Amino acid sequence: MILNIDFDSETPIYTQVSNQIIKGIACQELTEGEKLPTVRQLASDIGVNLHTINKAYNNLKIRGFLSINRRKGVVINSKDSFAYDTDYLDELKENLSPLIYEAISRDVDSKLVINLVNELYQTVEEGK
Amino acid sequence: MNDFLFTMIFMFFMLLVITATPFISKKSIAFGVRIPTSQSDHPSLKRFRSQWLKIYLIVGSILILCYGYLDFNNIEIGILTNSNFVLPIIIIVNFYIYQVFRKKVIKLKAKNNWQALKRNTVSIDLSFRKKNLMINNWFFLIYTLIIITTFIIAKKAQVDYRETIITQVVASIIFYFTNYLNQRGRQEISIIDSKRSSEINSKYRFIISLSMYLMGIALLIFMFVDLLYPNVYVFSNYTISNLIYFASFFILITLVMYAGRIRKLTEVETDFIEKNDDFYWKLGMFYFNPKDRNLFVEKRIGVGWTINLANKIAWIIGVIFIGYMFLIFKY
Repeated sequence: MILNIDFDSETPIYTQVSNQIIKGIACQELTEGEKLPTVRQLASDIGVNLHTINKAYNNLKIRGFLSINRRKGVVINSKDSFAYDTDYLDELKENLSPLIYEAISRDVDSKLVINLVNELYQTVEEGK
Repeated sequence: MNDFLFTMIFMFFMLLVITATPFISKKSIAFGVRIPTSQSDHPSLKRFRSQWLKIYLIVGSILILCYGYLDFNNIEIGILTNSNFVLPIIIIVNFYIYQVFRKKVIKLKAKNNWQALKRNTVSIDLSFRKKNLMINNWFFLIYTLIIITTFIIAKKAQVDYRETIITQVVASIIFYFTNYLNQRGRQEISIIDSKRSSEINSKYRFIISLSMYLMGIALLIFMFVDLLYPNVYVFSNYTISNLIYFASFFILITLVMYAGRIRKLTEVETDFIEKNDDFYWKLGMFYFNPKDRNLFVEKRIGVGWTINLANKIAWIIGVIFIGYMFLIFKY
């Protein structure tokens, strides 16, 4: 899987890394048991501080996407480890709310929003 | 006669290697300057390359032939006959010509405003290191075997083996380490068509690794034969160790150049500069970047790896290396 990091972007690099890894998991480009580069290796490839990559990996670890093991390295977890629960749905709702409120204030029809969501689902389907 | 002919062949071969450099180095770098890969065949750059070719073939041949003439007839004109001075002269002339061309490309880059077409992005293939980037470490057991064989046979034959064994061990460590860099060194893949770029780069690294590995074997065997059978002649004046060394050297350098050429021809084209790092390459050859944590980076011209001079460890390695060379020359 290819990571594309934009140094001029407003999104911090650790967020770019973790977002793209999650996208990779969604598209099944990264599957259970797949090894990711070590913190040191990825930091040296991208040319950033170890701390940045640590932050990205820890963020993904907390969310259950991967485990960081001293011996086995960084490995993608099985689907069960990050299956959604009510807590996640609450979080999703909370994260979505400002986006949806902005859309509503701009008079975007709910059907249009749903279409956009469907479109994203479709791109992932096609990416598989 | 023996030495003379070898020196001549060797010098002409090295001349060809230097002459070929701009034709086998990456598309994104022209004479040490970053350019958009799509501009690699810009008419001016093509002209520079053909000028480079002519200058090297003509000036280089004349220099080598002059040297050969003086050497063959034992004519002494100052330092010219002393072969220790030939290498520095070649390095200085080469450096000067390189700087002239580098300046030309810098001007061309400024004139066409190529530096404005840069993107501050990088692409990383997460599975890059799972590809075959280098010869497996286990193959280096053969190095150890050759050294042990040298040791045992030399001991039986009661030859003084100390110097040879030490040199073999040091050479093995260097070869092992360079091989390791093929695996660890930073990946440099294009942000356009990254998958293909990653394929091309991994294949290239493997071929370099393989060539270096074989070169190491040839070198160790050469030292072994040179120590134990220095006077075995295959035909006329050619010793068997000379033949092994030169044959493998020629074949493997040719292989490396061929790999570079293939990479250049297949490389992904982009119409912008992926990483405008000219500033960190002092004189287009010395890498000095305090912001880069990497100690080893891919060389800008030619093949292999170079050190980041902004890193303190680079200086320590340098001092150790110079110390080692000093010891070898002294004893």
